Amino acid sequence: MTAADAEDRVVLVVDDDESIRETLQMALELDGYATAFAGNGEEALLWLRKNPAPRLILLDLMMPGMDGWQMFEHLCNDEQLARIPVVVITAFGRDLGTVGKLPILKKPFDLQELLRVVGDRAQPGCP
Amino acid sequence: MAEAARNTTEEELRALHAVVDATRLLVLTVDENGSVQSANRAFERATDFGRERWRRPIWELAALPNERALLRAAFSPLREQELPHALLFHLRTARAWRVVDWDVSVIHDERRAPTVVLAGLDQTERQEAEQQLRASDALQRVILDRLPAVVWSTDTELRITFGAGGGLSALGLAMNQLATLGTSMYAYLHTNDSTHPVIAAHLRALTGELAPYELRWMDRLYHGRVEPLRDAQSRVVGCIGIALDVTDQVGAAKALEESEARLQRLMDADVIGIAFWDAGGRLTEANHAFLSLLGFSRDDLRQRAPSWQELTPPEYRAADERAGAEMDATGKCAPYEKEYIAKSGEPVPVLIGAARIDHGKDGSRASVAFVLDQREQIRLRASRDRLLIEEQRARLETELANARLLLLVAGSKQLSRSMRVEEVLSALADVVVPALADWSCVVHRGAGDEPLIACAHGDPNKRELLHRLHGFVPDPNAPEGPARVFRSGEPALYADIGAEQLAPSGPGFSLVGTRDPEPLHLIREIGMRSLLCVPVRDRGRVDAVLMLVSANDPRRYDRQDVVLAQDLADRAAVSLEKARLLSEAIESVRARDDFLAVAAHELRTPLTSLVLQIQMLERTLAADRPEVDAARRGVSAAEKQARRLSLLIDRLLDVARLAGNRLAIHVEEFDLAAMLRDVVSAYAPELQRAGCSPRLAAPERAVGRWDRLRIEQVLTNLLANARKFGEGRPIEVTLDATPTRVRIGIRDHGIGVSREDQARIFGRFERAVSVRHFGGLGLGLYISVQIVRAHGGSLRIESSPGAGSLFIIDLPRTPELAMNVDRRAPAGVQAPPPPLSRN
Repeated sequence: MTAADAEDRVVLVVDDDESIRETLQMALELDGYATAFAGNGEEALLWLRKNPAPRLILLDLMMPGMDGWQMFEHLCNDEQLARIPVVVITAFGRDLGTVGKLPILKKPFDLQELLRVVGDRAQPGCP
Repeated sequence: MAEAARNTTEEELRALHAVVDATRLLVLTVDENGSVQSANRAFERATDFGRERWRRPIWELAALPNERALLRAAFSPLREQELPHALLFHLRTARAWRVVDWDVSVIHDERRAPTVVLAGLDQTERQEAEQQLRASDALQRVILDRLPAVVWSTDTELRITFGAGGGLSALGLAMNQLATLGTSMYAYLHTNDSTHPVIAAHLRALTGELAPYELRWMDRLYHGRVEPLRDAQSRVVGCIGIALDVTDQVGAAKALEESEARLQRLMDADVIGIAFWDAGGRLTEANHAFLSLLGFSRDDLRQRAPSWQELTPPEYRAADERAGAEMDATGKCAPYEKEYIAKSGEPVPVLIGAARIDHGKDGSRASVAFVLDQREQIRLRASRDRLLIEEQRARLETELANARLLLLVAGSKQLSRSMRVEEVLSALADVVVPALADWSCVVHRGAGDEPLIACAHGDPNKRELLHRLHGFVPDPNAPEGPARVFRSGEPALYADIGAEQLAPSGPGFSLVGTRDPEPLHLIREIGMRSLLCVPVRDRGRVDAVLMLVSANDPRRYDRQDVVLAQDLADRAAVSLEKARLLSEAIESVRARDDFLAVAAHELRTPLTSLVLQIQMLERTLAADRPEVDAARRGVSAAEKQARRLSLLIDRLLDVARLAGNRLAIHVEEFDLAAMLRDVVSAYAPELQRAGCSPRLAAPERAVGRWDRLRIEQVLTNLLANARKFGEGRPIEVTLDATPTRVRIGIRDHGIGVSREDQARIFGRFERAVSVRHFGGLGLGLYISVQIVRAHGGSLRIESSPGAGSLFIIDLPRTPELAMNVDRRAPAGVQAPPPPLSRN
């Protein structure tokens, strides 16, 4: 596996809930993905600036500090980052606003669904 | 004479002719055809007619046509029986006519037809003499004719021989009417009665007496007197009578008498005051009614007659003088109202009418006044006026009350339509303009530090100015104006406002509660002459103050306006309460929706982990050689999420229990200091991961009686809160204990809570932050405060945005547990401990 292949196997999980992060790590590792984590938008942007673009970002919406909506706005405002596919993972049941057109994994989702979405790699969602 | 003629000779006949010719009498003979047969010399001399001129019918000798007609009728043909014995006619002559008085006789002769002999006496000279006599009497007659009397004379047979006097015309007789002359008084009076007063008077006069009489004759009344007429030898030869027509005099005298009687009756009746004034204006005579009206007695009047000036207040003298002038001009004056001064000095209102009366020979004019007591009239008038005023006032008040009612109805309608606080304030400001105020403002405390203000002006041109006043906030320390009303809860009325009260440079506050020149300048420009401030009270607190302003018009506020304005303000208070409740209900629904969303989120998060763990475990176990360690890790993680779900469910149940008043508190004695150390220690790793390392300062022991699990729940909640909002900064936990109480403080240095939010963060489903950024059910503080209260303690916060928060739990060592929980209101910082049941 080349370095590029390895990079393509990295999934960035942005969620403030520790248990979700742990569980997703375990689940994605089952299919050979590597995971990186951030507790909120700020942490995620910091990671993205320091690391190669991940295969996919799994983005929670309700987080302390910079929330999912704000982070998506930042991604879209950055030409490089805007290319990264984003999949929303949320338990938020209301109107999702600006992130409404992104692929969504609605909590609670099952393993198979998670792995399919990550495997399919969604298109970049920025307008 | 006929007999003699038959027996005479021709000589004798000639001698007879000579005699006939010698006589001065005019002699004619007329045949049966009326023709003159012979005339004597006297006739021929008198007429200068010869035979050829007198031989003709006798009527042709008469000078006047009526005389000719009369003679012709008598002589052609001769009607002997109808011949008069005497005839008077004017005889034609060659030169003029003569008045001749004829005796007529008829000579019968058997041999021939009868012959009429006329022997006449020439009366011309006598008549001319009489004419002259009459002319000389004419002057006397003219004088007599001017007399309103009748003068006459009679002979002893009572034949009228003379009549004169102006009184004749009243009797329908022409003066000098000769027809009456010679008429008997009996015939004139158409009576034969000798006791008729006039006849009797004449008969008495004929006896030499003077006889007066009274006679009503032809609707006139005569006073007459008849005297005897004597000749030179003093023999009574007739009567002289004079009668005066006294009809008018007697009528006037009678009228006067009646008038005087009426006046006397009027005076005696005392219905009306009557007073007589002499030409000098002094009271000379008055009836009892007049005297008693002014309190005078007759003695007073006798001792000193007062003048009208003395009896009249100065302000009425001009009216009296005008009345005097009117009397001088017309003899009387129109009634007018004036006052007299009574003897007591009291003014007496009267209605007076007066007339001039001729008085005295010197021509001076006195007057009589008729005076009607107007006191009762004035009293009645005053009473009627009072009634009228009262009625008008009542009507005005009714109209005012109606207008107020309409205003209240319209106001209530407008207010009731207002669903938001701002709308209620605007409606209240609008509804009083212009009916109650030229302009108005409602100052509301507002939700936070910012007060709300709504203003309205009836004049569109002034609205821009008023709009600029929206930033105006009365200083709460101002002694007067809206600030006073906010403090006292009572209305403040400033009926009349002087310019100095709105001056910015005064020593104290202006009336409206500011020293700021800009709003004061604006208010002076808009105008403020009268101000009324009323409180809008909600649950005993003044939420707002309604300011009504009369700008320039004459309206000044009074107590009635206070009542009306307060009524409106009270209705506004109801609308405010409604708006508040609505707002709370909306907020409550929003909070509940938020809570449900958050609750779903919070439940789904561990559920996601749990589902994934189980599916991974399934996959692990489905492998040909399952990895036992991986499976164990999966089971452990799944269990952790299950516990987390359980805890969440417990919290939701706690909320349900609190809502249903079923939160159970089980007290036991334990050491709170030890428990605090354990909880902080157990939570320390999580706090540290968040960068919020805890520092604890607590005494060795703090024993009391509390519900161990519930107090632990409170402490965990507060620490979780501190971690969540502490922004990664250290956390200080303190415990202070007195013999009866303990106090726990948990301080973070995070985002803090605004004052506005502090009041509601203890409410159910409330959170001070967006659900987007901070998860959690938002029930922690609500449950905590309910638990602390159930222990008889309190939980409060000291905080400000950006400066972190200090949560303070105050607990009695032995809680006095109450029976009920306040399920309604969010627990405020200052709220007293609400009761809570223990099951």
